[in-house]
Order: sequence, then structure tokens, then C-alpha cells
Amino acid sequence: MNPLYFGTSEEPLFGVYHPPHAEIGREVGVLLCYPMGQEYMRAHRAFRQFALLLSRAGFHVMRFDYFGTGDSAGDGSEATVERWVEDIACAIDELKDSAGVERVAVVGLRLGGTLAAVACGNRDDVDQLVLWDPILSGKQYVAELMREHAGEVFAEPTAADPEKETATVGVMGFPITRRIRRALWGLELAGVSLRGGLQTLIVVSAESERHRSLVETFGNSGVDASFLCVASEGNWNEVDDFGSALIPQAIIRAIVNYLSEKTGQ
Amino acid sequence: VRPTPSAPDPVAAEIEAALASHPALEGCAALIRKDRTGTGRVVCYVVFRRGQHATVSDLRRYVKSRGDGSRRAPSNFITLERLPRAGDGAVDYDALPDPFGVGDDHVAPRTPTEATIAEAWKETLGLPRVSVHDNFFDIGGHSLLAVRVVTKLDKLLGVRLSQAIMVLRTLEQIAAECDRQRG
Repeated sequence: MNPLYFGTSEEPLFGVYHPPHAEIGREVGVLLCYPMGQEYMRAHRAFRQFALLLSRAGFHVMRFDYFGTGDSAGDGSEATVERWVEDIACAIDELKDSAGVERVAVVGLRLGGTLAAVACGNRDDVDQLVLWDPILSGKQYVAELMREHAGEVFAEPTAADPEKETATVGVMGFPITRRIRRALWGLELAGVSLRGGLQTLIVVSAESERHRSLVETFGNSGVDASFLCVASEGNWNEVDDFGSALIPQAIIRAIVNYLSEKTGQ
Repeated sequence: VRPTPSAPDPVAAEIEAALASHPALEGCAALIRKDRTGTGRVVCYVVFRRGQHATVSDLRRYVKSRGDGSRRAPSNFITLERLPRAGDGAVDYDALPDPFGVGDDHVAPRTPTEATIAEAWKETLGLPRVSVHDNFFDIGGHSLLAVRVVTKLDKLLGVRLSQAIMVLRTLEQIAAECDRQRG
């Protein structure tokens, strides 16, 4: 694997490129889009393993940290949802340059999936989009985070001024500013425009009628959408005393199989 | 069989010359290397001046801008502390690290301790083989399985490992730690 900084030198983004680790490579890059906050921590190991399995299946793979997260430039108060969407587009371009490929598949987990749909739904160089336990409603997602965080908030009120545009409230490890909350509030996955013919897999760890219904919603606009439920661990926001990672191998294998089949080499 | 680097070919030499004038760089080298699939890729090795940095995107743009646009763009960049030099001061291309092979090859256990740990991992994870360079969590382990392995190794080797060592280290490193603890 090859750790790198990409994007502008003033505000570099951190990424890791995994070249194909197979004798027969695929002329396809796979970009992995992380979730946020506590979910990022829980998913980190899974993404490393996911990248390894994809590279062993012959794919070029890249994972990266959004602006203001992980090892990328910026802090939480500077980050915006719009910027994260731009980061995904930038990461797709970097993956194509690093790998020397023209075709890309994008996999996003939780909010990473929803942002990926916004970022690449209309790009003509993205052939497959995999939305893994994606956030359907930004409004509900924020409410869910706030609810999970409520005990802590009541125990120790934050000093941050919620009226300031950049005042940050740490919610489940997710530094949320008012403008991030506002942007998430208006984010509905079903309302995201995806180009006709885009192969889109919605894969979930527990049966969900609302996720399943996305297939019809997207299908109505010509998207080649499919749904897969792989019963497995999916509590990405859980916090335990060990900071345990979540590695749902059955889903990871299912996505590797889906991409291998769709890219058909 | 790993591909071995040769003296830079004309394409790599041209890219190296273009990159050399980047103001953030103290030194650089370029090679065409074959990846696992046998595809030749331009790999650039860069040493930054103290306090200076540039992203790979900017370095790539810089190379493209120093010509008529027909130049092949570098694929990968590796940042080094310094370039390896031969006795005459020239860059030792053979000593430049290979980004497509380092640490990724399967290496079977070589010592009794490595073999014991490998057996415990294989049994717990249901894998046919593990490499001494593998990390338990990278190949499918999780916290509960790690506890099982720690208990198993306590019985087999008389060494009580911490959870942290399983998270951070490779099989080879864990075996060395076991040997150290056993004196």
C-alpha cells in the first residue's frame, strides 16, 4: 500500500492507495468512502481489510480521509458537507491518476455512501456505486446522533456557542457545526439524482423496507439498482470500553463478489 | 519473482528531469516499475526540502506542465528521507524501495513460536494459511477472536499477551515478543 497526500498542497487530503495484489489486474479503481465520527473509528479496520481483499481480487483501491477528519488538513470547524462531496470527486481523480485507470467504482458506508451518491451520481467515469448501510435521511441521522449523545451532553454541558457558525459540538466523535447540521438536514438519499444506467447496489446489514424501496425509486429514473441484505453486525455507532472495531466480513465479501462480477474480467 | 529495477529508461529520465526543478524538492528519482500484474508504471521518489511539502496531485500537475503535454504522467510517488547513493554519489536505483512488493509476499512461519501462533490464528480464523507479515485484525480477526487467541497462546506458550499487541503488530513481531517474555 502507498500512503499519499493529494489535492492541493495548501489543504492536502490523506489517502492510501492499494495497487492490485493479483497476477491478473482489473482496469478498474475502487474508491472507499468512510463514514464519520465514531462510525469512522469502528469502520477503520474493516476498510483496511476490505481494501486488502479488493486488491487481492485485482482492483486498484483507494481510501482517504475527508477534509477536517483523520490525517487530512483542516479541523472540524472548517469542514462542510459540500467540501466532503468535493473531496470524493477529488479522490476519484487521484485514484484514476495513481492507478492509470479510466473506470471507477465507489463504495460508501453510512454517511460516506450518501455523500458518494451526491458526488458521483452523475459522473460518467463511475460505473458502479455501492451504498452500504447508507444514511437515508440527514435529518434523522443528526437526530439519531444527538439522541445517542444526549446522556453525555446533559452530564457535561459544552462550552461551545451553538449560535456561531463554526462553533463545534462533538457528537459521537463527529464534530458538528451548525452549517454541517443544516446541510445534513436537507440531505435525502432518495432525492439524489443518479444517472441512468449507473449500477447501484444498496447493501444492508439488517432488513429494511425503506432501504429496499430505494431500488424502485432509483429504478424509476433508469438506474440499474439492486438490493442485498446480508444479515451481519451493523451497529456502527456503538461505543464500548475497548473501542472495538466492527468487521462484518460477510458484507465485505458480498461487495467484493458484486464488484468482481460487474467488472467481469 | 519480483521485478528488479534497471537504469531509468528515457521516459523515466525525462520525468525525473522535469520534476527536479520543483521548488519544494531537494532531490528526486524516477523509475518504471512493474506492478503485480506486470504493468509498467512510472514511480517517482521524492525528497522534500526541510519544511516544504507538495501533494502528489501538485507534483503530477507540475510534471505535466513542464512540456508539450504529451509526457506520460507519473503514477505513484514515494516520499523518502534521502535518496540512496552509490559510491560515486549517483542515485542507486537498485536500492529504491518497491511500492508493489514490500512486505506483501507470503512468508511462512520460520520459528517454532511463529508456527504455534500461526496455527492458533488459522484455527481461530478458519484460514488455510497465514503469513508472518499478517496482522490478526487485517485478515479477519476481531476483539472476541483476539481474546480466544490470547487465551490459547497463554496455554501453549505460557505468555499472556495484551489485546493491544494483537491490534498493532504482525505475527512475526508478536512471536518475537513471546520469545522475549519467555527469556
